[in-house]
Amino acid sequence: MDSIITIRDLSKMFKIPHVRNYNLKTYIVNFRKMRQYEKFYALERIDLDIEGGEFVGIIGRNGSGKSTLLKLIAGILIPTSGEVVVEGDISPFLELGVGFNPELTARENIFLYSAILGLSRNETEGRFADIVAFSELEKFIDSPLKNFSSGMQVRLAFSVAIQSNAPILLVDEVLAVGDAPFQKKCFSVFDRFKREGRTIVYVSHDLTSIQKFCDRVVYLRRGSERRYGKPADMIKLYESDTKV
Amino acid sequence: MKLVKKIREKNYPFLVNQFTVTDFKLRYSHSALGYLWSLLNPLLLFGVLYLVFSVFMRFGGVEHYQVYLLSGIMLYTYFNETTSSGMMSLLKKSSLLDKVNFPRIIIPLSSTLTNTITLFLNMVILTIFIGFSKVPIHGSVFFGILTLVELIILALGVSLFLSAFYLNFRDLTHIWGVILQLGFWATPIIYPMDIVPAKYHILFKINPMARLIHNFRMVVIMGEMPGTRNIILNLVIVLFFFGVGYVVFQRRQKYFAEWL
Repeated sequence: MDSIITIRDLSKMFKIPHVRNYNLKTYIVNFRKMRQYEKFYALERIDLDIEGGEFVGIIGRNGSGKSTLLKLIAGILIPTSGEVVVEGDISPFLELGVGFNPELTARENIFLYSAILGLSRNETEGRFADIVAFSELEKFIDSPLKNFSSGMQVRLAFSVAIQSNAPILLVDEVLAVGDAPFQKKCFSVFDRFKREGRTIVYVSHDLTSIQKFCDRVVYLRRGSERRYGKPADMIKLYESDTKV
Repeated sequence: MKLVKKIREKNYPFLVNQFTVTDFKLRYSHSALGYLWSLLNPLLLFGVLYLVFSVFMRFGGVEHYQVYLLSGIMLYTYFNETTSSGMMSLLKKSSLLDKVNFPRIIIPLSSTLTNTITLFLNMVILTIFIGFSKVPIHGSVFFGILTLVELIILALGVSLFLSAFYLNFRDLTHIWGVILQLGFWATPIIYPMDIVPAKYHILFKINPMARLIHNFRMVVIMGEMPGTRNIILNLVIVLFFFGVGYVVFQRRQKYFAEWL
């Protein structure tokens, strides 16, 4: 099978300025000083091929570049060097409920969030009942979101997010919240996505779910070092690295 | 070097629509008077300026001074509010910029459209005002719509330009505020153009807001048809502003997520 995501020699460097500045005045006054910065490589020379239908996990400690990698795949960040080629539509749920507005009602937020995820009005209207049913929030559908608990908000967000048609899903630590029954429901959705042959790139610290779902795991170690392999091996390596 | 191939069949018009409508709702839903608040500002300004310049000082020689003044205020208020809120629109949606990939231009575009709804409502008020003021209606009024379209394109272009720089330079709000204030007095909004010595008229010719407001009054109040040369020149000017804003925005947009 051809790879659906091809990453070649990918590096991402962030410029960390010596002085963090948001003022035009300061910029003009200290023109030369403002242009000095440290280079920080969040990712260095990564190669990765992900095939259609694969469920790939990414693990690593905080600051190892997991989220940066997802953002590069999503096209939110642009590479400093190297390339990312994605052959298909991506649904970025890097964070659930991004774009939700607390002042709007749940109903209004469903439409807003659907639009952000790239659904059309017709699709949103057609799936509205499903979304509400999955979230189990029928009673509160016309209340403003600010009255919802954080768990309820995540439920609503997840219910909308899973309506995405995209063949490639980028998932960043979305299951950390929500109660046990809802998590179970989320995992059954993951199973369904797998059966449908969707490609999923999954970032998580939850090693149990990594072990359960992933076909392959990328372990981002410190610096430019990384390991690829079977979930069990990578998790073992990660655990031995992080043992205190 | 870099290559991000995107085969996406996204429904961006729906996204523009949702951003525009929800912003409009949010702006007005939390006050009982809603839209009336946004009308209050130009009307109050109108009331004060009318009192000072027409009752106390008595500008002579301007026909239908009330409509002249109100139309100037409404068009300039639109430009003021659209560019000010458009400038900050990207930062207001910073969480989205950092997490979701969609054409960034949708954000300042929706912000402009939200303000355009208010402009449209204000034009309804102006029409009622014109009815009461007994300004004769001419066929040239239709060119007023063209002027409004030009105004929207100009405001969008300036918003694109400002928003693309605002992420790096947050003190632009103060700078732009001063420029808008100066612009209000450098544009014939309250005073007629002919009280200004002719040698300064060049300033009105290069000020796009002065051109558009003058044009609007010419076709709506005076009933004069605009010349072909004038129509083309105005279009060229607003498209130039839009073009510069668009190019600057597109060149900088790929770095927005890093600049937040």
